[in-house]
Amino acid sequence: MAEQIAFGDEGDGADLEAAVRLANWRAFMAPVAEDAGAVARHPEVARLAVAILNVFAEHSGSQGLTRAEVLEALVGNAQGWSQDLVSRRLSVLTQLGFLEPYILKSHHDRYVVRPAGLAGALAAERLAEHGGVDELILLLDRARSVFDRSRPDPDAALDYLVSCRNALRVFALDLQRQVAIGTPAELMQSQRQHDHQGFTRQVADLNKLVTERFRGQWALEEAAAALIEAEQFYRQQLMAAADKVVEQAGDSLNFDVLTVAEYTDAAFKGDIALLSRVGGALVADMPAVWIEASSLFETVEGFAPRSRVRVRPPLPDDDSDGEGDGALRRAEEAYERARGRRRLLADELLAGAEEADLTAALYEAGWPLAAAIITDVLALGDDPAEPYTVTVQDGLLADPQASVTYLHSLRLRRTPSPSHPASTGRDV
Amino acid sequence: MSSAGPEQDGRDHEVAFQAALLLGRLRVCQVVPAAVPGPVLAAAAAAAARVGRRLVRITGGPQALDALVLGWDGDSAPSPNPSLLASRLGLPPIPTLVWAVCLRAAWPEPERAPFLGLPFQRTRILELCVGLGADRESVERALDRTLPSAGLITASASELRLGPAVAALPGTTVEGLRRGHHLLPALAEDGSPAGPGRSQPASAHTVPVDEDQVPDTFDHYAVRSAVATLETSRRTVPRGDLPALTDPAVRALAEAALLPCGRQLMQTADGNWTTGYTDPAADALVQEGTGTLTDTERAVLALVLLRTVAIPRARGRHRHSRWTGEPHSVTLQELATNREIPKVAINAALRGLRAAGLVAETTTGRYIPGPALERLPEHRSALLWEDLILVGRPDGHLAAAIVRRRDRTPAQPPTGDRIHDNEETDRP
Repeated sequence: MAEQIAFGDEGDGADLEAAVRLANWRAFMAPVAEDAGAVARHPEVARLAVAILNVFAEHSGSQGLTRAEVLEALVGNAQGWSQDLVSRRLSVLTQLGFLEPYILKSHHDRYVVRPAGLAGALAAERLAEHGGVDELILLLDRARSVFDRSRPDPDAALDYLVSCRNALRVFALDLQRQVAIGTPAELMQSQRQHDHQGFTRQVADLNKLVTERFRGQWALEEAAAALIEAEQFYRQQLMAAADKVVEQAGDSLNFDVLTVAEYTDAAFKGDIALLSRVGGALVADMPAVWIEASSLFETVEGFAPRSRVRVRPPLPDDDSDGEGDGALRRAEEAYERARGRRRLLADELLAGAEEADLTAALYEAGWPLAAAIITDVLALGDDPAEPYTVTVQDGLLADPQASVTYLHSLRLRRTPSPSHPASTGRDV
Repeated sequence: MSSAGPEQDGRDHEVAFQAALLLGRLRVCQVVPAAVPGPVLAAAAAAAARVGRRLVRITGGPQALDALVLGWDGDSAPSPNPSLLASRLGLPPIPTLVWAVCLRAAWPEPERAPFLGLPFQRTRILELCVGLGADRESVERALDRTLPSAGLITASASELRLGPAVAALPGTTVEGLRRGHHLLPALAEDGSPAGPGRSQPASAHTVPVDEDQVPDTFDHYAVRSAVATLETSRRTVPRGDLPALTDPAVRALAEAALLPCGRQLMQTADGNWTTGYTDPAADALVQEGTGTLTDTERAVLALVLLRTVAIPRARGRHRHSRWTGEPHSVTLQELATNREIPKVAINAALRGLRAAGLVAETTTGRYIPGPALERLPEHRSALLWEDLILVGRPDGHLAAAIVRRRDRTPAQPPTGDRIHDNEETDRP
């Protein structure tokens, strides 16, 4: 049956990590697997197993938990596991003996965790974290504990030395292969998994113990020397992997090589001595301040002096005669002067006649005086109080050589009754 | 005779290197002491002339100056093209106003050269600027920090004078200022007594260039124009703004012209153009502590890069492989969550980093990696990446690999103590 969650659900960034984890588990399970399909296809199932373990640890009574209780405890879990998925995983874990009935009776529905299952889940977690490198550390620790006994067993010691040497060789060869053909992302992943300190020290300590406690036992000394060689080979591959990561990641400013937590930790806790290791090769490189005359004057203009208090503009001088509003009177006087000037112009154009065609006069005046004449006579024609009418003909006179290039003919006529508004006006 | 050739070549090489270093110092400090050997001065003047610059020697004055600044020759001053003007480093409005007032006070007779000009009183400049509506504190900051750091004014005792950067202004800029001289805000009345203090005993003259050392090529205008644009721009220049550089011949000429100045032409991954220090020049500047950062500045730069580059990238939130151009930014408050560095020290260091172009401030007051990081060649950028890895996990395998690599490479820059000449003020 297919799992509800499928590989790739975690997003692109987690794909590689998930794939590596899955490959590790498959390899881990291979020695005891019945067939190639024995290992689940998604790493999430291991987290679910750990979550089930936690439920048993926190909620279990003296006689274990029922399936329903486990399901209820995982309702609304943060990971979004469905009831169906949890139920199916419970069935698998029960079938394989990870969970076993409290009483070995058929149809008994209370379960407890078998301790070996707990060890498997924890091992799977370690495998997920460091790809099995932790097992190497445990192996070295166990070997040391054998040597630390008051009467160490030479056969057991030899077995451990050989196991450690073989394990180191396997890891070293895997690293060597990744340095040769691995992608930068795979190398970074491996580099993170192998970033443990103290292998060299542990192997050297082990070698020293062999020398102290089994001096003259050729097989053990030989195995210890082989372990040293394996460790050196492993270290060489580790250095080669780190060199390659530095070489490739530096050019692309790839910061995936460390975890977010490590950078964050440095940002919060780093002191000046640590943080000032950054930028020792940097030199200030800024252009000089540029002065642009036009921009400078624009800026200066924006700082024109201004008062914070609103002040009324000064009053104009009082009218000498003291009558009414001087400004209005001056405007009326100006209007009268303009009207008088226009009347004089009209009389000059009519030359004593009642009606006159202004076309010739306009051509004679030329541009722009013609425009001024037209404006004045039209204003006169529009004024109901004035005894003049202006008629603008429809025909357009065009002459590129003339003093006025385009012109409508104008006729000016003196009307007999200036006081009659209906008889005045402009005919267009 | 047989050994004279290589010895001479060695001497020439050393002189050329010292000349490049001198021009590098001028790029960082804007003003350097003129106490350099004659051949080095001549070589620097020739190298500067190849990229349209002129070496100006300032002598005399009340402070008995003997200093060098880097100006522009008449033909090659950067274009006043508005699209390029925006990319240059200008003064904010209030420092612009303050400098305009200073310029007018020091330069009452526009028919004369503005440098060195007359001395002027700080209090009178302050009063006038505040009277024009500028904030008093901002004016004081401009007089005490911004303008002196840009070399636009210098302070001695109670009086101020125009700074050496004024002697380096392009002729076109001086002409523009001369035409608008009447628009510069003038002090109400010059109350300072006439006398020896008002004389202009200083002189600024261009260091003569041996024309034979400056090859006159057909494309020299295009080359000098491109270099002027690149060297005055704060950021990388879009390739569309420098079409001349698409011609391999012009590009080769530009590269050849920049090299004696200790600079190199670089193209970013997206095809934009910029310039940066050559490796020998950068190494030498680091070695002598010119333009380098203080311990605190380096630590704060590390904090900025950790929070704006390393952590987002470790989370997979990035689109390219550059230090700049991503939207991640950090505030002073966030930087101050570091438990070891006081907030006041972080704030002061940020000022220095901004002046060096290594950190920039957004309009909303957030900090981002600065434009000077775009001027780093690839391997120097990788060095900075390595620094951050060393900080993130100082005892990891990658850190060990980085240390091994650096041990194999001679002449690594010092990561220790000092620093720039005047820690109290921002550098230009």
